[in-house]
Amino acid sequence: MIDLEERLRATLSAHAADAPPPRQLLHRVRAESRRRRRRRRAGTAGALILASAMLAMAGYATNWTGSGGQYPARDGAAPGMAHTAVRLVPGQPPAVAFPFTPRTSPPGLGEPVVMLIGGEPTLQYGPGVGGRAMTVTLSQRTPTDPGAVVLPVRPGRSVVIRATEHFDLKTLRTYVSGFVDKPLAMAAPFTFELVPAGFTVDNVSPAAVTFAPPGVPPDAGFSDKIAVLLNKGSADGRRVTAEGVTVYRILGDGRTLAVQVPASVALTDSDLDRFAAGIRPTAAAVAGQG
Amino acid sequence: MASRGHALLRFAYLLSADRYLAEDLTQEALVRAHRRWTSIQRADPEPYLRKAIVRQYLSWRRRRSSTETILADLPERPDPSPASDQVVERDEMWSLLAALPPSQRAVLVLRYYEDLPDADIGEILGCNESTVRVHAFKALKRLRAATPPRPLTLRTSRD
Repeated sequence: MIDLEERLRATLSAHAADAPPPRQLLHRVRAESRRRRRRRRAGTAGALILASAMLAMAGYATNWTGSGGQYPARDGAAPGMAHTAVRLVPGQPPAVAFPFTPRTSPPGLGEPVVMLIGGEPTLQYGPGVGGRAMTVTLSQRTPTDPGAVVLPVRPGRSVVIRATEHFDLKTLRTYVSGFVDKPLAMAAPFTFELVPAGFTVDNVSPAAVTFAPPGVPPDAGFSDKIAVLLNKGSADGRRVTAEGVTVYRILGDGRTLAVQVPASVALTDSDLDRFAAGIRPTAAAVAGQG
Repeated sequence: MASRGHALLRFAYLLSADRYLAEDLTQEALVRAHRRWTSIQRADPEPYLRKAIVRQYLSWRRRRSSTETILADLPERPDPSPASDQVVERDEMWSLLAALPPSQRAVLVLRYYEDLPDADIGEILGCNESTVRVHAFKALKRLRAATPPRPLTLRTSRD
């Protein structure tokens, strides 16, 4: 027993040296703590707005019913939130391209679709048979999720691979070694007549595009961003909630275009209508489930 | 907090055997503590942070076992060098530790790396001393069954 315990102590002491160094740990803790504080405040403000709206509903319910059951028009962004003023300018979101073209696909996965996820060009495989899927992201960020595999492609450039099931490293290395230095472009899902000035496009998929306001770091979420979504179904009109406003436009082919604007973005109703009217799905767009 | 960051990372790494997860666990524990730092700081904050890391680790393992699939090993750990038997032996032991249930592994790390008494381990894990001893007994039994005893070395007078 003593021998085993000694070996155990030696093993733990030896492997403790492999622990990661505390790179900017304090800085990251402070930044994350600030971000959560902001979210809590926004959540509290949202709850207060919702409570006010529910109290007001009693008085205005008759008027809503009288106007054909429509939600009332929004007078701008909800109060109490930090507002980002928006100016619409003619333009298109930047083209998305993955800088390498894979020669092969990993076993069981078909052709990839290029997307922009959290501001990072990404190859998306699947989901296919049995829900198999894989993403390959050209990333500068160190992944924090367990199971993500980082593989170098060229000196100073690495990809992060995430998959729904196990692929051995040899298979993944062979796949990455087949990358050719030729950008693989994404077919844009929408064209825009107008875009919000100063906003950053951080997500583009065949069904959605998000515009992040200045100061909102790119991520894979839709919170605090203007989101354009192509959905199946036939929702129409305008829906106002504590989180913001959504305008629906029926396209007449079983699909609906939805434009979500968070309460923190001050886009007037007329500008929102102009923005939504200038969006057209392309042949590459694929409707999501909404 | 800054001065003990590396010690906490080492502890998280021994628990999780994953460098990225160790960073996540430590960061999450520190972020949660940051909110209440004034009150935590009055007492010794390190036991509080260790407890937070262990709880994070155990709840992460529960979440992962119900929702996620292990994808692949991270490739960044250097291949074990063909060095001495001791290194091979430690790697064997490390692999065996990784295969233990999370609570048993946590008990071994707290007992044999942090040198904590069973009462303190129970406090961290939220169980009593006897449960800690049961975890330790079962873990050691599994390790003993999987590790062959060292061969006896005969020493000669010239040694």
